[in-house]
Amino acid sequence: MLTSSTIWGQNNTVNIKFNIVTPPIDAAEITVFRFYISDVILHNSTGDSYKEKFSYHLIDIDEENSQLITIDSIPLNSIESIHYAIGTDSLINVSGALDGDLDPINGMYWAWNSGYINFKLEGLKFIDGEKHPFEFHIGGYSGENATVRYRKHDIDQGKKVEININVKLNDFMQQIDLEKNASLLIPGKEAAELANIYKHIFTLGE
Amino acid sequence: MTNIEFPDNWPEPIYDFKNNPITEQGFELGRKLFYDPNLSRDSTISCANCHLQYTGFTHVDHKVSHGIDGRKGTRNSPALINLAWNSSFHWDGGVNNLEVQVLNPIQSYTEMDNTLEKVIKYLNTWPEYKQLFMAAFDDSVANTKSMLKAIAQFTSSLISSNSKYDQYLRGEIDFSSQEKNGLKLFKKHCNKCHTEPLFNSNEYASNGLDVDTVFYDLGRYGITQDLKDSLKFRIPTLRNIEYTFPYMHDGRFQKLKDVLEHYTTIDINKPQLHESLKKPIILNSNQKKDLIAFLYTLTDKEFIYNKKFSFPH
Repeated sequence: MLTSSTIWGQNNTVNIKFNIVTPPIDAAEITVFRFYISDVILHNSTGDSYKEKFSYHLIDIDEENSQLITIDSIPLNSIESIHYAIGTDSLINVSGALDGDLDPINGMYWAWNSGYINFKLEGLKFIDGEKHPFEFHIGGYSGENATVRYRKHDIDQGKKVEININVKLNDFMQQIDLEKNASLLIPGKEAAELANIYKHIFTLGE
Repeated sequence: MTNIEFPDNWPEPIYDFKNNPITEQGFELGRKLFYDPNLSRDSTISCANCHLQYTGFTHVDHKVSHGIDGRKGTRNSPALINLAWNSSFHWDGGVNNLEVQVLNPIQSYTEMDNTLEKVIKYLNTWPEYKQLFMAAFDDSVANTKSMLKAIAQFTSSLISSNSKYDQYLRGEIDFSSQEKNGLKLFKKHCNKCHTEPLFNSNEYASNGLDVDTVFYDLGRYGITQDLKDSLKFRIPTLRNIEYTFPYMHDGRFQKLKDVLEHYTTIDINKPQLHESLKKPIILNSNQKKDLIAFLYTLTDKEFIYNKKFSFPH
């Protein structure tokens, strides 16, 4: 059994790294990929938890710094699991003008139908040598069409300082029928269905 | 001013002032932004272009507004009156908080056609704005949030509560018998949707208008994708209605008598028609005159000419 001194480095800090795994080069080209991670909660093995304060992070494939979430001064003696949301909660979507990762200037906000785009993916899929463009702006916070999705990963012993989460875009691409729809830019039932797909492309890495 | 003032018999505002308390500096910054055409791509269009104070903060005599390069929009400019009591904004209610409404005209192709990056850069290079943001928010660096909060401090302050009707309710003046009769008719036929004292409602309704043949505007349906919301629009305020023609979401009625002509000839089988309109409204010509006379009492000259809301000199 690992003691707390081997689990925690200096400041009870955890680094959560999102590894975005793009599809094979001959399968698709990704031109835009941004998503929100929020509501990060860490649990120990005895029922205690720590909720990150004002937990809203915009992860961008083009911004390496954004792909690392550092949480320090965690008042737990160990970490057994991590819970988080893909997307944003409904309360923050009705809270008016916000800044930082939630600033509308980030291009992740619908002005005409107030609310956040939780997961934005654009690019080209290669089918039979042809380039098929696609654009998915998946958002919406209302009732059964809400697109926030919750994930939980149990942490292996010894991996408590660095948590790697893989985001496998090929898993998403393979479950989309581009002939049916290559463009989704509004909230609603279809967005909720796509959110069900993206929920499962977030997996615990090594 | 640090608190908005409103009559005792009004409900509490819906806008969360705790998160954006009005200060003199915030209000003045918001006012300057409201009247600043440099927020548009080519520096020609400010908010005031489509929301003129002297006509109830709307774009009088325009069915739909024209913005940058003379481009036309698709809906009639709403009157900016008593916005702190709105639970949603735009004719289809797509905006859920007063603060974020402004993101629409700034970025709209037909209105101001600008980007947030360019606007924020402008606010951070103009020395006067650096001072104003410092005074209002203790931070000379402007960002989207502080710009939006400042404008909301101004727009939420646009309160109209001193019309002839308000003075009559307070016992300060008397109505003519025509106006009194008009008020009775109003309470009987109109109050369900245009409810006193704000003369509007936070609901969406169809009042039996045929869909317009230019934009095929389905109103609230565009936001909810729910067929039950087809042809429903937010119920606007009737305050200062004398000045805010033309009427309806597409400005199809130029005069109040045209509006009454519509309401007294609705086909009650129209789809989604609001419950309260399913019984025909019958008004003879005198009654129509009385009702219009009453609607004129909703004009609030103090609001229309209040220098605090005018272009800052």
